[in-house]
Amino acid sequence: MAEEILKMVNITKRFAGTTALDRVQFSCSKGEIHVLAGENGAGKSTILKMLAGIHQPDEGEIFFHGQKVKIPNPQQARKLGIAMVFQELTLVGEMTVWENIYLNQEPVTGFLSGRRTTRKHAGSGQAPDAGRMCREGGVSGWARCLGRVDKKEIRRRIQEAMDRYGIHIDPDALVKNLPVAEQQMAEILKILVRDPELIILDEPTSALARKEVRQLYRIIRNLVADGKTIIFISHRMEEVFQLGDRITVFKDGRYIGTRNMDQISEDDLIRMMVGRSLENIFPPAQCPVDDSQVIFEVNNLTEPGSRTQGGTRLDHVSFRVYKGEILGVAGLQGQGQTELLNAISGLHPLAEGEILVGGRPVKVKNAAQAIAGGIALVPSDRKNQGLMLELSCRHNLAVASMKKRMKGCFIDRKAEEAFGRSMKERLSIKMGGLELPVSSLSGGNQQKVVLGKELATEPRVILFDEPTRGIDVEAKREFYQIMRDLAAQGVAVIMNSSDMMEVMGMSSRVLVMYEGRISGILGKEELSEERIMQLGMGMDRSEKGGAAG
Amino acid sequence: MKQPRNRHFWNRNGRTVTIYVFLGALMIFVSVFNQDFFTLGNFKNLLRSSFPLLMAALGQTLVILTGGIDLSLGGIVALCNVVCVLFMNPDSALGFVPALAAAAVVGLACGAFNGALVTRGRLAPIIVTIATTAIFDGLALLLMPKPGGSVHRAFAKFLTRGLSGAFPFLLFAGILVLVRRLAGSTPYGKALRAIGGSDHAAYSTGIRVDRVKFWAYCLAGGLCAVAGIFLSAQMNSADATIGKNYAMNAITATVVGGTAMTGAVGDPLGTIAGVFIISIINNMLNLFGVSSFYQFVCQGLILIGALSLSALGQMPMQTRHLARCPRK
Repeated sequence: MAEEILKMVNITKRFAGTTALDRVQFSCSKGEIHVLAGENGAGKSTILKMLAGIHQPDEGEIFFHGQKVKIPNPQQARKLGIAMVFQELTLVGEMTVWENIYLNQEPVTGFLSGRRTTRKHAGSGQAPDAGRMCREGGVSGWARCLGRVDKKEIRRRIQEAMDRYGIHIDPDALVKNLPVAEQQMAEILKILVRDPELIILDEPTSALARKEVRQLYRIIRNLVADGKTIIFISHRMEEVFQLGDRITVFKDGRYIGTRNMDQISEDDLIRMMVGRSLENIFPPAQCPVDDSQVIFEVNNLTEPGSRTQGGTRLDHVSFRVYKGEILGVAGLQGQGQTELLNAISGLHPLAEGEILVGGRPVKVKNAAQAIAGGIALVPSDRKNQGLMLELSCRHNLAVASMKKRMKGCFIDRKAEEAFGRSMKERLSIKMGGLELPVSSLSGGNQQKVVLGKELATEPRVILFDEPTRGIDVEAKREFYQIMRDLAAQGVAVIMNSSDMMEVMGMSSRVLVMYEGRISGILGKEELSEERIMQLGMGMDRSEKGGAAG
Repeated sequence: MKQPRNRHFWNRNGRTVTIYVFLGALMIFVSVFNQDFFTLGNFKNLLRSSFPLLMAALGQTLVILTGGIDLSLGGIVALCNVVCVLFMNPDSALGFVPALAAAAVVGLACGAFNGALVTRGRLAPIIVTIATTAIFDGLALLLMPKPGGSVHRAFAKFLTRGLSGAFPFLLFAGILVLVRRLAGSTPYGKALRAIGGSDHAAYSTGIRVDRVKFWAYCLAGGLCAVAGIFLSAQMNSADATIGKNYAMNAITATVVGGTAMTGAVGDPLGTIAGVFIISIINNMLNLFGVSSFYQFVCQGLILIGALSLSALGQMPMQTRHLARCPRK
């Protein structure tokens, strides 16, 4: 076997009350793609953040190239040649792409003068390895800090790196104006130009569309061919099997095992991750769809585009949801799916059109009206739109339905605690305590808190926007079960998802969007991945009835 | 290639261009009432009277770019003013040298004190600097309870009128170029903005967030020292209460100049325009014989106006309604 580049032994980490990692081990050979898998809250991100210098282990040792190392801060990680693409992006939205990519890494010329001090590699013309040049070429300390950032050189290097990896982003665009997928690619580019030896990717594909995922795979294979080592966290099974050489599984902060990818089947892996085999991740529908009863209807929903985005964002969207049904929403990224959900839930009051809940029109001019009308949204961006991260789990769960638990003009704290406990039971949320900040929970459990908050308003229509993005198999299964239960109870469930398996597995019908219009609604019998793709790319949109108005 | 470049130019510098257009319009407006406005003498006057505020505002801009705020700038200006005069020996030929050194040391030290409290103490900048304002003001009054002292004549004359009035301009231009370079095109400046944009992101990128912030406060203190020295030369004396309005004026100028209070976005060049706009409006009110109390009211209104304009400009279309919600 190749040289062991990284070894972590007996690592323990405790956060306020919970043990995130309990004497786990992890090791990695040079030049491999090592997948780290496990449910949410298994401690995957925690252990890798130790390598990036964000967290410190409470106990245990880290060996890098056989040497015992301490990584007290990100600078040390960088010195060792370890780089991490975090789950939450580390780009500064107000700065341009090029500024972000070379942040803290800028090649400089002398302060105030035009003299170049770092261009010694510029003329060589060979091996356009931007990162290495940068590391060798930089001046250090004070001189570097006050030097003049060499914008031309940065541009040239970024262009080289982009050509090399086949990435296309406008380097002068402000990051906040880019779509999420391009931001993610910029983040990856930012890591690549630092030329690290060990690259950690924490769910890099969760925000990417298929095309970019394939591009990322190519980049990763290129990197491995260059002798780099990759650690990869992923929840997508196909991804794990396509890319990984070896896999290590954690569960509840404990080490379960390490296997070679070619000696393990999908079932084995799932068994390792959840401790038992999952027959079917998608639970069956509990009752047939009753298409005589329309419980939710949208007519001619239209939202004109804004100055900056241009075009129409929603164009005469009309559809119905029948009793007992889960309606899937699919399409390529950014074709109006999220806008549709936001318009229905009152986040975009600019939209025109008619919304009927249970046959009665509901006026939705803001989120409060939508909630009063029985419409709830589980947003895709739980950290910004779904939760108040620093506030307690109890507060987050209760905030949307506070008025239901009043004692006079004050909140009945006892009732709220009881409510919090019942929600925790109902959705089996794993938490250290109701009073801990919701930021202390893992992603899947945070998502359950968002759902609990919305369920507390007793909605008649519930919209899920990417409900299972970045959460593990077991939590996904639980989510699907809850959706089925809701549908069986007569709640209209609408789910927008970019995960094709999910859309096909859960929906009784799928509404496909293209450029703000419905390009088709597919019933169960004609549902196939090909049909969804066809409609999603805007082909033959005249076909199916009940489509665009 | 030409087209996108232009668009990016507008993205980057749109605010600064707008503010200069406004400044130009204001100047033309004033010149209608004041025939002497577009004269060299008036511009020299304008620069001299605005110089201390220009320095303080540049310092404020650096701090605000990190997402912080420094309310103690006025206190530092006053303290440096007092210290500068106390260490001045009006009779010896090089009697101004110890004064310059002392003022510079005091300014940097005050900044370092703020910076250390904000970074080491993990305290909110607004609270820290309210507290240190009281400390710096108090120290200045302790050192010099009544305005007074005297200044090295030749030095004062050179600093405020040297090279037939060109010296203050050259000094100002030099400092502006340095600060703008620092904020705009050095790794330090990029780090400054990155911290203002997202200190979490900056930290994970390996930026030494605390160190960068610390130096921003120090630099602000240093620039206030320059302001304090200039004031001593201008007044030929010291006054421990001189700094009263600097903090607020510097914030107003920075915001009027297009720097976002949340950090990351801003250009020292815009701040300069902000300072001149404030100075010219105050001049104008003086000219019309408006009571100086109204000038305070006016300044408050300008600050609110500039803040709401920049808030409108920043908000993307889809979130604008969120700002409206509470009013319903």
